[in-house]
Amino acid sequence: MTKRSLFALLAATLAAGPAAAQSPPPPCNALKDASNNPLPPPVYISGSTALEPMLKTIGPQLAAQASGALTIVYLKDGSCSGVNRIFTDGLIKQNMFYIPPGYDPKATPTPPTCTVDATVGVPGDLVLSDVDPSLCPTAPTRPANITDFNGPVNNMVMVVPSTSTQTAISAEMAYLVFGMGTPGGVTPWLDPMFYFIRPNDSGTRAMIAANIGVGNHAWQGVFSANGKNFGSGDVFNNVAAQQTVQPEQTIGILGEDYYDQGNNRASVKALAFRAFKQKRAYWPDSSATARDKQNVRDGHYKIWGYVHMLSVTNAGVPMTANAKAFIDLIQGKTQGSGFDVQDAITDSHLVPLCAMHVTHDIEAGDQKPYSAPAPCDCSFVARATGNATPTGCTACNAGACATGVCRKNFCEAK
Amino acid sequence: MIAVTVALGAAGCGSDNKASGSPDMATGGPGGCFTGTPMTNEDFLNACTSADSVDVTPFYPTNAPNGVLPALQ
Repeated sequence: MTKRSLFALLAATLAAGPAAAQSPPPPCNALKDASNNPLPPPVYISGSTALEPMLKTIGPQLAAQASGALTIVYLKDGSCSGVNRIFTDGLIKQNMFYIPPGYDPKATPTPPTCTVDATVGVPGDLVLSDVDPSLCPTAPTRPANITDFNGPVNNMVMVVPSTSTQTAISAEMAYLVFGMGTPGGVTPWLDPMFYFIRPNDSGTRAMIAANIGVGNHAWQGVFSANGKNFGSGDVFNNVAAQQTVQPEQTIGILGEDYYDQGNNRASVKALAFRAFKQKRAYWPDSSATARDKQNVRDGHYKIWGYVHMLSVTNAGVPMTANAKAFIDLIQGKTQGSGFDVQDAITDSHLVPLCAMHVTHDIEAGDQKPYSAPAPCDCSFVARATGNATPTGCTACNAGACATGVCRKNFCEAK
Repeated sequence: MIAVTVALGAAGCGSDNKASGSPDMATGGPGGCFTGTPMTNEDFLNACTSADSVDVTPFYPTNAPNGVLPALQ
């Protein structure tokens, strides 16, 4: 394939967006349902594109709560764009999408949109970032009144078309590929025209950069087309499009939550990753086809991080009630009304903290032991894999366990 | 093309590809994997596991001799 035809393919991919709305989108601060009744109050969120699946999964349930319902109104413009915003004026001045009750991401992958006054903007309630703000290449100094709340765990993957024969990449190889391109000399990834990456405001890119030693250095690869920077969907579409064209030369970067959505694994596949100082390469899951996140949870797969929920705070408490409600829910301090937050996080292809056995101070930093106060390994793996009783787990009911504690119908370690 | 070997179901972590600076761990598992209770980053990365793994060249010899990566320009 020539470079010209590749660009044509990129353009076609980007042009294949959602169909035009039949009626003008409503203002984001006055959302109504089909019966013209007001939707629940908005919680304005911006940042990571990789975390879009989480919002699409939790959003409908949050909006349908009998009490404390909220409407997620979201601008997905990249983790570090969000960080830059909340570290400055905090205003969102672009149109957003929103998640009403009853929204079905499978039936309608693109959520409805709403409008924002581009001059005045709306003050964001919180920012979601895949990485610690200090890893963002252009982030200003964090103001003292911005607090970073840890959410569930996401991990990033380097992906190739499903038809590629490649299975693994080391940190050193990835450094040479994304840091140097052709002169890096890593076969078969020799042509940066076939590296589908994200711009430098991406948390996906920042997390991988930190783990392969590239840091804030510029990357080789294609991260935009027709003046539009790639989001996770664009990377996926471009990598998938190379299945029958140049599968061996092609490589891309994605969040695992995006990679695990729907039937995405049929088109692209994750590479096992060998970190610096590691002896072998591992997939995030216990195998290339598993969905248990075993290697993320036990420290064999290094490219992971917490969902960083950044909010303006007073004495450590979010300034807006809606931000506090969202953060408390995601952190498990409050329970959903009519839905299980742990299950919603799992269904979003993220890992709840209760299933983790390692922690770190910052993405790519040294891992340390972590013991969840109320472990959920078995219920997590059961939900994530669809295996009713995962290997090594014992089902329980009525609270009876020979050892450990019965929680969500499984005997957990404590 | 880098040769890789998939070790399906092997409870180990391989030992034939030590990079410069590899950890000097007290290891007793198959392939030199770490058998104790992991406490450090390198323990976790190299702990014995039933997970599938791939033996991938730790560095690219042409441009990273002895594991030393060239500075990015």
